[in-house]
Amino acid sequence: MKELPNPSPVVSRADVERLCERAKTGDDSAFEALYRATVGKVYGLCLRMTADPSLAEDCTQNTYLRAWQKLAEFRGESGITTWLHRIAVNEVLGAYRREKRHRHEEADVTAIAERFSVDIDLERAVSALPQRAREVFVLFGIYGYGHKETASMLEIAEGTSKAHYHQARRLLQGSLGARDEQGE
Amino acid sequence: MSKVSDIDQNDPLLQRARALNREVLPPKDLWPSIHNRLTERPRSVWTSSRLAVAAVLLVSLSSALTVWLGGELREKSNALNPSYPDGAIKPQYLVLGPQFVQARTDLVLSLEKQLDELSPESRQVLADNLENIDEAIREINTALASNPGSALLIHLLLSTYTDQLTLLGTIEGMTRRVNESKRTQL
Repeated sequence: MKELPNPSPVVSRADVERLCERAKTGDDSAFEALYRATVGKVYGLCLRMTADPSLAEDCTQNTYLRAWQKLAEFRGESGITTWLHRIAVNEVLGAYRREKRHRHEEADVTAIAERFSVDIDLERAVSALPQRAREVFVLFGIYGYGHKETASMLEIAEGTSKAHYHQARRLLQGSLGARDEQGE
Repeated sequence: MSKVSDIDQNDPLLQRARALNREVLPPKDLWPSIHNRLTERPRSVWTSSRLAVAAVLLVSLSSALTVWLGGELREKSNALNPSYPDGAIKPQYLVLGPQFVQARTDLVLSLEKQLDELSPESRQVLADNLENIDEAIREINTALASNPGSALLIHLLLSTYTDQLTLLGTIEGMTRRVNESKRTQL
């Protein structure tokens, strides 16, 4: 198994809290450090949810702009990554609503994911899922949020989240099984 | 994160998904763009509020001077309108408004009537001062033509117009008092 790169600097929870406190006072260098420490997790989520590198970049930028505006509301109970993920999911959903369409660039997604993932087949199969099934699978399957939290982020019912997950699982098993059979 | 009950530990697909790297860096550094947008907003708010204050001050000043002159509004004279290079932002495009232009026109017309009674030295000093201000306005307008969004240049232009109006008002008041004094002595 090839060694995974560590794209973001490792920052302890105590460091994050200190950076947040400084950023809340308007210290943009502290906010930049927060960005550097977390951008991989935010962009990774946006990219997998949108399956669109360009849209993922827009959503990532908007996530940090929104986070800067709402920093005073961050109390630290949920952890900075979860807080940023919630904002990022809102940005992705907002982008869909604004554009009223969904672009799909599977090849680009896998090209980018290739640098950071050992399982390109799975990345490719996830990016090919229908939008809502993909969003649920990304949040529940990859990022480890529970169905309750996933449903809350996506503004859907918990049962709906479970249904989409099972749909995603069935489709993934189908596409991955077909690839295994083809010897890819 | 997921509760244990949410996870089927024996599901190989879920295990495979959870093993994926959750971090993916964007292909380019997004921070410069984010930082620009972070710093843009306060600056634009600051500029808007400063311009609004400047506009209110100018309108108030022009109105006050118009009242102080006590004269009826006169037709604009072409000779009183400063010339601007092609493409330059004319004052009417800024927040100065027609009241400012009218107040300045009134002041200059009122001043012209009394200039003949000033000494040549005083007239020269006045002409030099006004020429300096006009030159500054022309230079700022030329710079604005190539950089119309510059908050600094717009601020400078507003300040220069304010200086011009203040100078005209001050000189007009002085010459009027001098002339009234002369007439009283006669």
